[in-house]
Amino acid sequence: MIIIPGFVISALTFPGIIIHEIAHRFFADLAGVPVYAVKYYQFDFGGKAGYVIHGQPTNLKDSLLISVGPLLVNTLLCSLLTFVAFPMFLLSKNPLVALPLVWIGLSSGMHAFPSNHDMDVLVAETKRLHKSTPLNLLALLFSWLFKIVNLLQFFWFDAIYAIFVALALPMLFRLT
Amino acid sequence: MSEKNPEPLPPHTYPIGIKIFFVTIIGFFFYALVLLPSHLITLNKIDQANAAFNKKEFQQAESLYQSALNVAPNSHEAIFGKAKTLFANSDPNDDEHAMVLLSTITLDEGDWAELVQIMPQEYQQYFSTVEAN
Repeated sequence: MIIIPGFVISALTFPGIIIHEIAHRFFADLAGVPVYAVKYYQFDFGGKAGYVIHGQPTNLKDSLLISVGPLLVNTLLCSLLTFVAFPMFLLSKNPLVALPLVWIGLSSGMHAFPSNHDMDVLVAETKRLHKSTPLNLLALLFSWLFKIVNLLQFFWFDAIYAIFVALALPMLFRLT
Repeated sequence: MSEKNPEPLPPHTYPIGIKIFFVTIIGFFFYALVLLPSHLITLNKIDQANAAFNKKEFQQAESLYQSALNVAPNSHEAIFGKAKTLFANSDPNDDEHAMVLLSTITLDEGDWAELVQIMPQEYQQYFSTVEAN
């Protein structure tokens, strides 16, 4: 198995990190949660490549929206950008013209998953509310699921997910 | 958190670099999106042409490959498909046209294996193997 330091992967796939943080910021703004600081991308050995510092959401729905938002946005962009690039690869004399789309698309897919910190914030919110509503249980399930997923990133699960998302639409349209 | 940063950022305001980044992505996306319908139609025509070739309907296949080439003149699959069709039909006058088409592309082993089954022996001497780096 190939082991590449996280900061190298982050540097190579920085568009995905920027999209992830834009989505966090956008959904925090949408939920009316104050945002105090944003780092869309930074080259940092062993540190965080990007972050959004925001206030406490007033309800679990907003908290879930801020946590899940990047998953939806990054996955959608990964799927759409790679899908429109796919025929260009097959038909163009110089398939490299589609490369920026594929690079940004796959980067976006690789950074779709919410971070462990995002999940910790979500768990804290569920504990603060002390409720056993379906949304609360969903949030807990979601947080544990993505903690496991984040562990699997050591085995390139994020890249596998991005490739799967990138191939889903072309396979649906029988382009592969 | 809010004690360290008492002033929240104004909502929905982004640095200029982020705006440029976003507009660039949207630009790339729409450029590809505009080309997408004609590309999808072309890929569909190539599929139909391949099916017609397999059914030995060479005239139909040639016409479909040509119509794909009108949109995507550099498509490897369409060039290769049309060349195969020209060799496979019973008109030897088309063979030279097929050779001209093949001179514009590089064939892989799979292509070559398909081609030698239908290409007249006398043309095979004009092909040589190149080693990949």
